[in-house]
Amino acid sequence: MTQEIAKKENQELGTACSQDEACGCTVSPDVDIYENPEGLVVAVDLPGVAKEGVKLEIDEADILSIRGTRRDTESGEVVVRQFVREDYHRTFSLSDAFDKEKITAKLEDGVLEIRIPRKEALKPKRIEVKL
Amino acid sequence: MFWKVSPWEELGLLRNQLNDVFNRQDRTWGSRSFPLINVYDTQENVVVVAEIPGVRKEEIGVVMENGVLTLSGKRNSHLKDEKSDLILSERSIGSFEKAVRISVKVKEDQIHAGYSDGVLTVTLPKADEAKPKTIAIKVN
Repeated sequence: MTQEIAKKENQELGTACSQDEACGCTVSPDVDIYENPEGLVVAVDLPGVAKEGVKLEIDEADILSIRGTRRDTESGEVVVRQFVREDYHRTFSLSDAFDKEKITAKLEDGVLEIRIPRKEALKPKRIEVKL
Repeated sequence: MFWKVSPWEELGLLRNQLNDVFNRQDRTWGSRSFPLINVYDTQENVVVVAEIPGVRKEEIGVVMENGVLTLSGKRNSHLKDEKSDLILSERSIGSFEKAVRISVKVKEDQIHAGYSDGVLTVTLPKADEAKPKTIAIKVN
């Protein structure tokens, strides 16, 4: 009985997420986050996503949401599968220190670069030392 | 047939595999190193697809030798010039090389590759003798 249940789960999950039809699941993309006095720079891996497929939003709860829809297609029988072609989604909670109005982004070779500047007043200010 | 693995272990394995696929952040498995590769078999071609976001076209190498397709390249740190602290690192950087054995006979001089949106697609057209042949059925 348990053997049958396990096998059925395998099959259901297999058909739902390994075929070409979207199953509604999303994949969390890898990111690198850099920090400097100017603010943050986030590099997001979104292979298969073109400019039109990117959706970057920030809401009133200061949640930055990154979405990417793939445009690459696949056909044929799968011999090796190490990645699934699902859409990307990941969110980050931004602190008050950053200026949400000034967030910019650009996409190149499947990497989305997001620049999140600090609020002017909160940038570290160099203090001149006079001798 | 005897059930060799306990059902709980099987479900645990399945959950780990799903986490691996959906999170993409756990690359502790030997074979799940950068870049991730899919291989497809169509009637006409073998297609090898590699996800290599952030790799510049000039840095990509595609070589076919003795039935083995080798993909190589280099991915630099995203911010090379600006002075910044890397506070979270999930993306692997550096040189990579992955070899895929192509077990069907292909027309090597017709292999072509394309690179778009960080995805490298290598198409290897099958030699005629490697294509499936439909057998006609005669009805008397």
